[in-house]
Amino acid sequence: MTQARSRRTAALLLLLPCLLVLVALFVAPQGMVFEASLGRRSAYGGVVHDWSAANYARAMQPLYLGILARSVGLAAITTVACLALGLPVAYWLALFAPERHRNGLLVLMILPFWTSFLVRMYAWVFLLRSEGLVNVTLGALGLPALSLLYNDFAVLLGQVYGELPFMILPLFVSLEKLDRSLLEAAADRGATPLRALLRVTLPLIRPGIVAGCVLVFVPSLGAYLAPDLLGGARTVYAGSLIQSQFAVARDMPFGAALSFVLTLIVLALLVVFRRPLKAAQEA
Amino acid sequence: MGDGKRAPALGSLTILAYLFLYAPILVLVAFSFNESRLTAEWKGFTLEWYARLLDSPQIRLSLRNSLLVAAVTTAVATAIGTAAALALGRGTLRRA
Repeated sequence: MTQARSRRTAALLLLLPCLLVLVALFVAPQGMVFEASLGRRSAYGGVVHDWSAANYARAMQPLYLGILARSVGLAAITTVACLALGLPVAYWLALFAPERHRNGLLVLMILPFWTSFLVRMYAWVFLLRSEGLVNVTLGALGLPALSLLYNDFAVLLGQVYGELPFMILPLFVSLEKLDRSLLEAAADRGATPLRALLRVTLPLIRPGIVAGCVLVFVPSLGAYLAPDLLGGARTVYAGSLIQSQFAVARDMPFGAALSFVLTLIVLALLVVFRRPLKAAQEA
Repeated sequence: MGDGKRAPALGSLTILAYLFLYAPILVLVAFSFNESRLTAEWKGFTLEWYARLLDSPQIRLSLRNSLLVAAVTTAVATAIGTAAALALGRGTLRRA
C-alpha cells in the first residue's frame, strides 16, 4: 500500500469509533423517535405502530402552536438579550482587557458553567422567591415585595443567565482576530466610535455573531430546566410540554411528534439563514 | 492592548456582567452556612448542613455515582473525540 493510502486507512479507522457512537446514540434513536411519532398511544402508555400523521395534525392545533410560538419567542428574545449583553463584554475583553489578565478573565467567565445548571437555577429560585433574598432585603429596607418568580421574566432571566457564556465566547474569538489598524484607519478618517462599530467592526465579526446566535437560539428553543424551575405551572414552553407528554400524559408518540416539529423549525431557520451561516463557516 | 487605552463604560458593564454571572452562586455558597433552614434571613453561621451532608450515606452514594459517570464519560469522550479530530483535522481523508 502506498503511504497516502495507508494514511487514509488510518484516518478512517480513527474516525470509526466516533461514527459508531453517532449512529448508535444519535441517528438510530432519532429514527426510532420519528417512527414513534407516526404511531399512537397504547392503553398502557406504550406505542402502537399504525402509521399516520395524526400527531402532527394535532400539533398544529392552536393550543400547541401557541406554545411553540412562545418558545420561538423566548429563544429569540434570549438571543437578542445575550447579544446585547455579550457584545460589550466580549468587546472589552478582546480589545481593552490587559494582555496578561485576559486568559484568566476568560476562564473566570466560563467557570460558572462548570457548576451544575440545575444548582444555578435553584440559586435564582433562592434569590427571587417571595421569601427569597431579594424580597427579604427589600423588606428590610421597608420596600414592597416584588413578584419575581414563576413568570416569564424569571424564565428569560434564567435562560439568559445560562446561555450568556455561549454568546460571549464566539464573539470574543471573532473580536480578537479583528485588525486594530482598521479601527485606527476609521478613526483617522473621522468616524465616530459608533460609526466605526456599525460600518467596520460588526460586518467583520459577523461569523462570531452568527455562531453565538446559533449556540444560544437552538438550545433555548427546547429549553426545559429554566422554564420548568423558574416558570412554574402558569408558563408552559415547548420543553415542559414535551416532557409532560412523556412523563405525565404517557403519550410518547405525540411527544415525539412535538420534538420533531421543533427540529423542523430549526431546519427551516437553517434554510432561511443559509447564506449568513455559510459565510460564517468559511471565515 | 498595550497602548493604555481605556473604556470605562464598557469596563463597568463588564464588571456588572461578571457580577450577574457569579452573584447567584456566591449567594448560594454564603447561605449554605446560614443557621436558618427556611428563610433567606441570616440567622447565624453554622457548619451543620455540611456535617449532615457528610453523614448521609445516600449523599455519599450519589456523589460516588456521579463521579464515576463523569470520569468514564470524560475518558471515553476524550479518546473518541481526539481520534476523530485527528482524522478530520489532519486532512488525510482528502484525496492527495
